Amino acid sequence: MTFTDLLLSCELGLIFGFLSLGIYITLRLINFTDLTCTGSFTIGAATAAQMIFLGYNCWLATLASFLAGGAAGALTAFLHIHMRISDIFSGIITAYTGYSIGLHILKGAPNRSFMEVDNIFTQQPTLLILFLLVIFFAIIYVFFFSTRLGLAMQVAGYKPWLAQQFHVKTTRMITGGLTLSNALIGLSGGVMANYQEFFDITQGTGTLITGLSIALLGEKIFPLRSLLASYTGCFVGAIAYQTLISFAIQCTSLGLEPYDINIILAILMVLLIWKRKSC
Amino acid sequence: MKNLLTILVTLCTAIAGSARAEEQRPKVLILRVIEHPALDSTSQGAKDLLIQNGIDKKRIILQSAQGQPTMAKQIIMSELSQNPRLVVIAVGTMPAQTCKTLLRKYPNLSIVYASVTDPVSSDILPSGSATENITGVSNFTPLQPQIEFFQRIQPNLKTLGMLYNPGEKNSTIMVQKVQEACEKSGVSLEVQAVLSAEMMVTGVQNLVNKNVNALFVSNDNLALSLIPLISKTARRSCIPLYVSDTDVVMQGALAAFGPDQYAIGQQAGKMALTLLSKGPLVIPIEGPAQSTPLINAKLAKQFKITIPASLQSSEKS
Repeated sequence: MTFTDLLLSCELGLIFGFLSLGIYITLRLINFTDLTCTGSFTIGAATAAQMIFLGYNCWLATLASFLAGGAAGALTAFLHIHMRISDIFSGIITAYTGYSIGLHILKGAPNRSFMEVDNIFTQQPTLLILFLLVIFFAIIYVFFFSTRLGLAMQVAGYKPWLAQQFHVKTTRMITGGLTLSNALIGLSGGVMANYQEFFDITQGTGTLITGLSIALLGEKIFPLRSLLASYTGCFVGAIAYQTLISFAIQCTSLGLEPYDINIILAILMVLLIWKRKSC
Repeated sequence: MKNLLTILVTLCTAIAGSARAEEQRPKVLILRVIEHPALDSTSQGAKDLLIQNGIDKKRIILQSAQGQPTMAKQIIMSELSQNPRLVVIAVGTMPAQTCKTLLRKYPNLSIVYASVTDPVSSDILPSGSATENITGVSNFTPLQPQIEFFQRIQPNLKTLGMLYNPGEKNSTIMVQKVQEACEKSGVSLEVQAVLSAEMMVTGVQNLVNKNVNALFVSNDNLALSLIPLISKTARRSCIPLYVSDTDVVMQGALAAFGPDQYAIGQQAGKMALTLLSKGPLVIPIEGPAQSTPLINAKLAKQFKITIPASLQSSEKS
């Protein structure tokens, strides 16, 4: 492991942190099994990529990716609440649709590159921009989930009957939570598109597993359940996850086959999260 | 936690030790976008050529990005951090794009792309000609000769059905070009989009229902990885399948008139070899050197197709 590898893992980790934060919100805060992730990531990244490609301001494009991801979340909520489709299924439906919508946004081009145009990382150092984004969203996240609305949202997910006693409109709260969570996933996609200067439509596949494992890894590393700890956990977990991947890649230079990467990654994860039997 | 730390530290030392032991000569990284028969033989071609020309095995690293750009970036960076002078043979569009974005920070990086259909529109070579850092071999072969070749095997070929994945850039480019070539040869084209492996059988059946005389798969990674399945489904209705790569013919296609992916790999390997021995210089870009016909004799017999005498030399059973 060298310094450059760690730096790269940090950069990727901070981007994937938003993805896992989105998943964490639905998984732990509003207790909704949301599988929209693949769709919202694709839609968010496609929106950002296409807008930058067409010459819009890159920050505007990144904001648009946030909104587009949110729209995908709202669709899942609509399917769940108004069409009475189960949580898992409505997420899958949106995730499926996301692929086609993503291709529509990209005007049928499955791989959009914009290397010649400025993006959010062109002017300033990558890590600085990412840190600013992380801090900005940390303030919003902690502030929002401490307000009455944010607390109501959490109650609506965990104890719907209690929420109804307090006249909380659970359906609105679930819609809000899903929108927020998928907006963050969309943002992660948008920032990722900015970062790598191109976007490939197949990239959304697998984000669900990545995001989930990061969220769970983050929980293990930061077992505290305060808001700030959970937020930090997502990002630290993401950095740890990327470091593990980078480490696994280097292990292959010890004579292992290139396709052993996933096994090494799995072993490293087990080593990191296993627990001894308590006597 | 403690156990993990110990293991990590031990492994780190081992890796660092192994890296130090090697000489600091430029290395070659062969990076595939994903594991898949055609791309594998391209990488193998490049690797074999380098080894035949006396490059030490330890200087050649073979990796797969598993379809993920982030993974591609991490693989390249982990090699770059050990050795700033690196020649990357990027097999597929995505790894080549990832390399291209790294050029700004690492001007010592040399990129040789292989199996890229259109390097211009994917921003790998926006100017269309090689630079000091980027060169390579595209895998685009003229389509007209391919269609004409199919017509020689199947003189009654009226409608050709093409399977493609709209999620792959190379395929979307290919569809337009096949359309043009078909118009010139007087064949009508039916196109079927297939988004994922589960949809493949339905897609094939849909084309069969449209009364196509033959199926065609050209440079589409999804379809190319499912050749046995496509072939089996189409054979039930007695419809032959043509492909663009000769490597996959024996998996169930009737014939192909295309470049040898292994030879493309060798071409790319040759470029990398020049870059290794002479340092950075401009090498003009290339296309596939030659197209060879290949016919699956066993399947031809099954379809009761008599191969014209002029083509019998390219039969293989």
